[in-house]
Amino acid sequence: MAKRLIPLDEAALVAAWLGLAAWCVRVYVTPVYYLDRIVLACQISGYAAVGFLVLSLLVSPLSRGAQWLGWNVSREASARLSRNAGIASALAALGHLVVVLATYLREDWWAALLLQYMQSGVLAWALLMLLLVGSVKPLMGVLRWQLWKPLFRLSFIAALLALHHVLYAPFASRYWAFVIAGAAVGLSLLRLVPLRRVPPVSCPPMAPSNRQGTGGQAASGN
Amino acid sequence: MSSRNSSWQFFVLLVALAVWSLYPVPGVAWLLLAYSIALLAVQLALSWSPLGELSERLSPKQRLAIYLLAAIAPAAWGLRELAASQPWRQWDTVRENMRDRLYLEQTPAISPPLVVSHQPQRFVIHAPGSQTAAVRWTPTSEPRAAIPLGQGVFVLDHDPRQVRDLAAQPAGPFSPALLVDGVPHSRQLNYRLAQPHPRWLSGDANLGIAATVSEETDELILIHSDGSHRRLPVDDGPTDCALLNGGRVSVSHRYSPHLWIIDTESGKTLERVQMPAFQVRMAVSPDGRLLAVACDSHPAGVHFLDTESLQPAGLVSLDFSPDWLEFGRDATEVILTDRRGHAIVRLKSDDSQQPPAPSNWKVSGPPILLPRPVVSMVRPADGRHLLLATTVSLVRPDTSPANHLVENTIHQLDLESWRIGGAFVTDRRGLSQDSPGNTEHGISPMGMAEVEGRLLVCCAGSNEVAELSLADGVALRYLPLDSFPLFAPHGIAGLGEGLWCVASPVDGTLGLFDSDGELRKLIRLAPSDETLAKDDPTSLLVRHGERTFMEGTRAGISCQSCHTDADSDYAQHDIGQGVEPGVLSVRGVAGTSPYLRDGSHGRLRDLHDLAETGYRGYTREVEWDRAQALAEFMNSLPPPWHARQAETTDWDRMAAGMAAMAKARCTHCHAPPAMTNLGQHPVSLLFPDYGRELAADLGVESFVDTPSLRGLATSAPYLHDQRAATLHEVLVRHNRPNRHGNVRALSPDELNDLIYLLERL
Repeated sequence: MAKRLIPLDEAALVAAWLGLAAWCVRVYVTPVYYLDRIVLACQISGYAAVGFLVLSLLVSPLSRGAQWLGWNVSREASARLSRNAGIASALAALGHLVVVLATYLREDWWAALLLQYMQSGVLAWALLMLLLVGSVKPLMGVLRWQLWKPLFRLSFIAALLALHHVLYAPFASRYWAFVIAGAAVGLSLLRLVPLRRVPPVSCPPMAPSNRQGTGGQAASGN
Repeated sequence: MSSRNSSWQFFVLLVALAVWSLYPVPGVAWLLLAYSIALLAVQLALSWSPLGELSERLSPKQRLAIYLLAAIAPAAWGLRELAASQPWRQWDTVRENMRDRLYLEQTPAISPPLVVSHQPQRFVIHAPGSQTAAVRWTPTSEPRAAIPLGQGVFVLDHDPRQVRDLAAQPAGPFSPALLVDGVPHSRQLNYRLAQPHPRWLSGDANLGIAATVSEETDELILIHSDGSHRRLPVDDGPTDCALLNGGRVSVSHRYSPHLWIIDTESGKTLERVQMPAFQVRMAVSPDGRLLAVACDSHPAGVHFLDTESLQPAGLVSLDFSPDWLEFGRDATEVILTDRRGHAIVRLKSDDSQQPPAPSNWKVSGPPILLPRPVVSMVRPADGRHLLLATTVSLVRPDTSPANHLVENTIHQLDLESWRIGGAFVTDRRGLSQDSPGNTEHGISPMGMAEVEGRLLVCCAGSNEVAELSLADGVALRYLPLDSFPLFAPHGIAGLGEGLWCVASPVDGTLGLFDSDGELRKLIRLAPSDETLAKDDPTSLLVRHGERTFMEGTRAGISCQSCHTDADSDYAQHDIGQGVEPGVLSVRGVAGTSPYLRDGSHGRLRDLHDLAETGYRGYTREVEWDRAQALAEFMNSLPPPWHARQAETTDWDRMAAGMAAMAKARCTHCHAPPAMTNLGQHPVSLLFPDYGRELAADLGVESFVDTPSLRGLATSAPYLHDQRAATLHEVLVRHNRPNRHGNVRALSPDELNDLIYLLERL
């Protein structure tokens, strides 16, 4: 199962950049009105960031749900997928910021700090950047931070800020934002499903969890 | 482990609250930021300081004791700041914003979300990919088909006088069905039942009679000096009435192409004179032989009729929308006011025939330009001058840049010299002021009448009738109306023998007073507050809101001061930010949060903050929530139904205009059905050539709220600093970088089609 998941989580990371690259190509080869480019650019990069963030946050409850249904999903595999989706989200958010500053706010970068929804977006971006840094193991060693796993709960804060950002963004769909946020909250309830502690017969006994030392194995609050 | 995690999270939350309280105006986003900062701070503390090791050595009880001790100060501080930041208000703002956005984005959608009982309305329906759309107002009524414009946009014109589907509908929310390609979709709209609104009065002291109309309920009201009154149904949207010789009264109409002549004795309609709709005001010549009717139609102008033959002599065209009109010294001189241009214009005729031929009426002399429009105008008996109520005493054409400048003033226009010969500032302090500088009298002068040598002025803002000296404007007496249901009086007229009558549109009442100011008779046209509280609480809330809109603050300013008649005075005002945005109309704002030019006010009720903080609140105590009532009143005002919409519409051209609108990408921001996506956009992006200058001038901090395009034909001049006189200028002259719509992609015909559509939205 874990082996089958590896291509998927790495594909998530690659897909973020492929999507943005495809958009870049599209923008520069298609002679469209500037507003079309801006709307498309902001939507693709922004939705990519939000989509990967939601995926990152939902991997853990989904895997619990899968376990409850009897499927054997390894914690390492779900952690990898969550981490990679989180990295993809952070990179897409970085791309979103670059795109917005290069197009929508081209004339006035400081305007990004004036409206509340933009402030939320900037804060979400900053948190994702922090988590991105925290996902690089050498940096974690240098910083000597001990509670990486709880720290990654900041991704929930980032998601709330991103939701606020999307709800007020002029070219975003409020309807779909509510639908996706509602679905995400609903699926998050799967976290309440008790974890099956009994390992399969073929697996070795599970090692005791290291509360303070998981350092970057999970990109979200698993 | 669970306990350790909980206490650790508790500690983080405490730090977060402390950090949050440091921010001057804590908001929801800042709470999240504070939590993040606290989480990081605790991480760092545990990683780099001995605190972490210390924490490990403490027992749970010891840790809890330390946390509680540490919690006292930040908790108290945080709670105080939490209360000050009004988090419920922030949540309510988000709720209102999201409600409006979801309403518009959940297709099929219809806008405005308001149906009124008193005027025609144009609804825009957005149903992408659909072929047909219709509205079934009630479960039992017939579907009313909307006209497709393409791009998923449909238009439905609704006239409550023609379509009686909602006749039995009580005021409040209701759910008509949108039938899109035959499939019903339920949408919630608000239905507003208008109450009678008698505004301006015409009086005849010789006959002992006064007359007024209620545009909302289509009726003429005749008041006799003995206190009796009669209510007569008239045509669609009566705007004014004028007493003619022979015991007749003429009634002008906004939505009907007829001028009615009614016998005051019998109440019978004697004649219906064909005339363009949108008749707004009338005046009778001093000799009683000529009737002038101002029409805000297309083309705008004045119709003159001989009062005996009642044959219109033709239209005297004007290049502005006329507002008030009065005859001057004789029947060959007519004075008109232009609200948008803040001008006073004189027409003169050298033709001795009555009525003079239209070609004989010429504009005489230069227009007199004022910084603000004329609110009302009256001709005293001597006929040598006119009295004009305005909101500024200065006589110069440019808008004054002063902060919050409103001076309630009556100007004397000398007709001989054709200049403003005098000005009475009616603002007065009073004996009951509770703080320095309160204005208690003379706020928002409206109707004026000369009654037996006395000048009586209705002051809507201070809720009184002021008696002023005709010679110098000295205040002789104030008659407060607080003890009567005659709030915000508008019209006033003498009935002879010292009697005079006053009209309150807000309360739907008329008061007949004697020369001593004693109330002889109170005439109720609308239900009392008590009755409305039982039968129609929504209408009562709207009435409270209208009172708030009219009521003067301690600073002597009311909403009405600038949003004249719930519309706009078409002037630029500095409301305390050192900048001068143009005044927006209040009509049609329902469901379009956030508000103001920069979208800085998330809810309609937040606009009331300006009265409480900027203008020092009100002196009267009321039992209702003024902010909520004000919001309800503004929510009850539909977009105006104007002359362009009433014309025979070329729907093919409308569809071509809609296609041009989509082609120019206007719909990205001016999205159907409200013709706004309720978003804010960088002004420098849209107007790179003058955006920065505009942002600095307007203080909008780089962002401007996307205005709705509904009622555009009546809101010129355009753009945030009113720099564009016409829609063509908006799209071409002030859009050279082609950022405010891809207008370069349009052919000249497509551009004209687009303007044709915009003028009729």
